[in-house]
Amino acid sequence: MGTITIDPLVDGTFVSTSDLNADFRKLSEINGKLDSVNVTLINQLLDYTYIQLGAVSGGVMVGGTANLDYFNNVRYFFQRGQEHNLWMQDSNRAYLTALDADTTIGDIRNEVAPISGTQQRTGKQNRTSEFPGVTDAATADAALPRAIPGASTSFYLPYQAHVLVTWQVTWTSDAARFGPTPTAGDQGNKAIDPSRFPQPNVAIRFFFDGAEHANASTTRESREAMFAQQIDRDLSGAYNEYDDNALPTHKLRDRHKSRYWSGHAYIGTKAKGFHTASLRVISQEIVRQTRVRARNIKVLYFKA
Amino acid sequence: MPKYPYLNDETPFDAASLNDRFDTLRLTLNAVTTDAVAERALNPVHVPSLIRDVVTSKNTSAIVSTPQDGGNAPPGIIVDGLSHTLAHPFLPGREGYRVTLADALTLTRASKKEAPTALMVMANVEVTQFDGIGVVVTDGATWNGSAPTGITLNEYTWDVTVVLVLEDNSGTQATLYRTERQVSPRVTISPVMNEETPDPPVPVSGHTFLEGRAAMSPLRDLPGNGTTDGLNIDPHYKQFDHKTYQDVAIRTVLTASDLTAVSLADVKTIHIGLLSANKRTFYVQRANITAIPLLAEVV
Repeated sequence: MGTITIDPLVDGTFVSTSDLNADFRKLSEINGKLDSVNVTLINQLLDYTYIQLGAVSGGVMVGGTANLDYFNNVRYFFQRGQEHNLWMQDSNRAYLTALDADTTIGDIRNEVAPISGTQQRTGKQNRTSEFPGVTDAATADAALPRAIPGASTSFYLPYQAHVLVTWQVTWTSDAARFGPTPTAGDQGNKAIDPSRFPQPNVAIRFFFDGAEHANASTTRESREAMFAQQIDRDLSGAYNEYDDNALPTHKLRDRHKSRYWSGHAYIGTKAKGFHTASLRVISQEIVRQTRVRARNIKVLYFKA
Repeated sequence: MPKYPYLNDETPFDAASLNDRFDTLRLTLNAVTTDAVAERALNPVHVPSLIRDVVTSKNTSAIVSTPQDGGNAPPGIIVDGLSHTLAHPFLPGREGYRVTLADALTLTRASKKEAPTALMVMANVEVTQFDGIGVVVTDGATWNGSAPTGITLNEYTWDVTVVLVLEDNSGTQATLYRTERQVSPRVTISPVMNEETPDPPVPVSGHTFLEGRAAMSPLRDLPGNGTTDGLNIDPHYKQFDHKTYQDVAIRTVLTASDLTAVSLADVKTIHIGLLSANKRTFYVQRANITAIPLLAEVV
């Protein structure tokens, strides 16, 4: 509706009350039924003072301030390893490794430098992980990532609208490369083989109305260690010596290593009604801890 | 708004008088003028969309490769840092790195009331890693008899620069300098070889890396010499924490003044331009760019 058309009356002809009432009824546009047709003459001159708040666009934002931790039940250990790494051999350093279903702490500690039985502890990887079986966070099944509180929202579109979503999120993890340096060749002629370096990853992926949206462009990942070094002595060994049998502490910190993503996605035209948007986190199972600090997710919509 | 003409005594009440009364209201309601509209009078049914039907977004058309082995083919597009400048950055020229509007826009509205006056642009691209990373091997005698190693990658002399490039209907391109954004590598700094941290950093004598800024990756098998038949070999740079994986975001609104600044009459295509101020070579992936033409005037 909008354009009013009155059936003209003619003198000398019979006019029924229903026809006369119909003409009056057509003026009911006055009672809130005017639409864009009625204001065609002025729509290029109006400014915001004439337009009701939310009449042509709107937005929703949610945020969070808490640290959100996601754990896989991985246990890290430093294994004394010296093979094919002269620097490690010279300095008696260790590499990072993890227990798995077959490897015990006793296995690790006895492999290179056997320790007396009283100091051995046994145990195996207990797979009660947040992301069990995930081998690539960026491409894992879309059902596996977890929605991030503070980076997920539901919202109502009052009219059909173009939807644009933006967000800010930071995350860090203790994804680390495990094990000794991979080598190729036989026992007597081994050389470093970079093609076999494992690279644990963590990913944040974007979903709209429950389905992953444009995975090709709205996924971001981080790889390898994202936290500060934690071996507490320097090269010279002059200070901060640690016990050869101690396990150095981990620290989830370091401004250099946090991943920050200020992302966006244009969703397209969506129908009036409720919708959802969310960022979801996932990691490889080998990543013990992922810490997400959701800043916000914002939905902007423009009347279509 | 006109007042309804009341019926008066001793005046004809015929078809013409009624038609005149209907027409008075009909014509006015069918063409409401500005002075008839009160503050906050217009709701969603009265006003048109602020966005013309040329709103568009481009995403990379395929899921990019994310190899687990990190072998010889890093994911994404490689950008040669030596051949490109801010005035002439590298343009990947593929979906996700450019967006083309349905019509070329002048972003002015002299007579055509449907013409957009502003263009909201959002662009993202992920920088995965740098190329040409070197390994530095120190003098063992200096370092307690051992020879620790590092890589040349650092956040002081390595960068990726991202900027928007506008292209008009005739194909002429121009860099919009104010949209320039820059990131440096995300590297781990270890105490190894970094006991002294002069500011500003200075190169270590006899080496190419900076004192106090040698990049290391200590949370793993410490990078060091390898062996081949009992001979020492230098480590590979991939033993170090060399991956970047950072996102670059550009958010801006283009207006007619931007087109004037770059001497373009209109804008048809917007590109994500890539370069390195330090002439580094790098990889990018997972780009997307959105352009939303707005009818609302930017003041």
